[in-house]
Amino acid sequence: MGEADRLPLFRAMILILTCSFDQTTDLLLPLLGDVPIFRFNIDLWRSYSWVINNSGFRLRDHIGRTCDESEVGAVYLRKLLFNPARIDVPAGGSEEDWCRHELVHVWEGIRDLSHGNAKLAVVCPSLTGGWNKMRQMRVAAGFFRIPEWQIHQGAGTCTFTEPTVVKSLGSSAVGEGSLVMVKQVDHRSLSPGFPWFVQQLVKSATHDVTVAHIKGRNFAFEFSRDGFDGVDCRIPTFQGTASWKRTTLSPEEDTAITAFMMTTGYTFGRLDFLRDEAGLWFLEINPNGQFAWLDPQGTEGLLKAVADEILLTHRRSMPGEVWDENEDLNSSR
Amino acid sequence: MITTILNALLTPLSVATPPPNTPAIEQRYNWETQMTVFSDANPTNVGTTFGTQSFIGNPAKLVIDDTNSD
Repeated sequence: MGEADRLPLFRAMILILTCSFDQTTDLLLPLLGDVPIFRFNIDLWRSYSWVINNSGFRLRDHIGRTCDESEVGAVYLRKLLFNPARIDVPAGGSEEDWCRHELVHVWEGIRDLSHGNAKLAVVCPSLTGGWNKMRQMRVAAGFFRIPEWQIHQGAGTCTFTEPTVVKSLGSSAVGEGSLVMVKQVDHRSLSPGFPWFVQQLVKSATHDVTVAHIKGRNFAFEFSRDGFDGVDCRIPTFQGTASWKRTTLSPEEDTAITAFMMTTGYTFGRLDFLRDEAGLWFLEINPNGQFAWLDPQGTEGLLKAVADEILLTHRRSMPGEVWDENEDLNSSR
Repeated sequence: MITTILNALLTPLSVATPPPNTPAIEQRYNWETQMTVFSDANPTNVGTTFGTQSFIGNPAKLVIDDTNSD
């Protein structure tokens, strides 16, 4: 194949499905080199136009940049967030809510088409189905210690005897501007009539540990619980008082995480643990969890690992392209 | 005696996310660079532990996304 024949292939672009205030994407863009990027921000959907039919999709942004399906080499799934994230929706629905749901279907449709064409990069649905927290914890018990947990509703259903925290299976707001976050409770005082998710309080925990897993590579970070008297590390992290530092996993921990990830079918995820003197306690995995906040300067190799995976998917999708799996894809950028 | 009702467990959303129906963050979008531009170099209290705004202007103030979905 001559160079002229190859030229159009190099114009294949990377499509990033996200929102305009996604700073993780901001940090990744410089690491994607000179590959054309089309960023589809769902919160700015009125500034785009698109046509999607049996022949493919064509997206056009505010300044005339276009993205034809035939030119897309990789699709990276980021965050589906509108602005404002939540709106009041009457029981009878609303036009804005209808639009948002239609847009979600458009977004997911592009995702599914890309998955079918092996163009989804980094964040891919598991071929083994969904991984609700219940399934996560049951399966993870084969690899890690799991704090005892129970989901119950109704008087007399709680059988806990351990010190307990209440958690939430989802992340919906409850009303009155509040969220259910991890909180220590006396399980005997929980009201019946609510769908509770309770878990053993790990009193021995000295650290929170979070691990970003990318195709067999684990990037672990920890946060010391010294001086933190709560149970939900998201609060001090959000408030900027938590200091997350790179940490080292034991070979056994590293192997267990990779084996668990292979079982889930996910090639990417951010796993949360507690650590005590005996090792890790598994809490959960977020299949599309945030990671850039762990490596904002790009010094830990995490951002680069994600960017490299996107670039590899991009390259693999180009027929006739020869690539070296060990090549440092963005070393010159 | 049963005393703990759901309300007693709640974390005010103001700790975790902007109030509903208000712009989440003072920012604009640069269509040329396809990147976010913040009007305030150090915005505070604009992240969220739900869904997430990714993280916010000051890299020292990062926000976790715990959306458990794929």
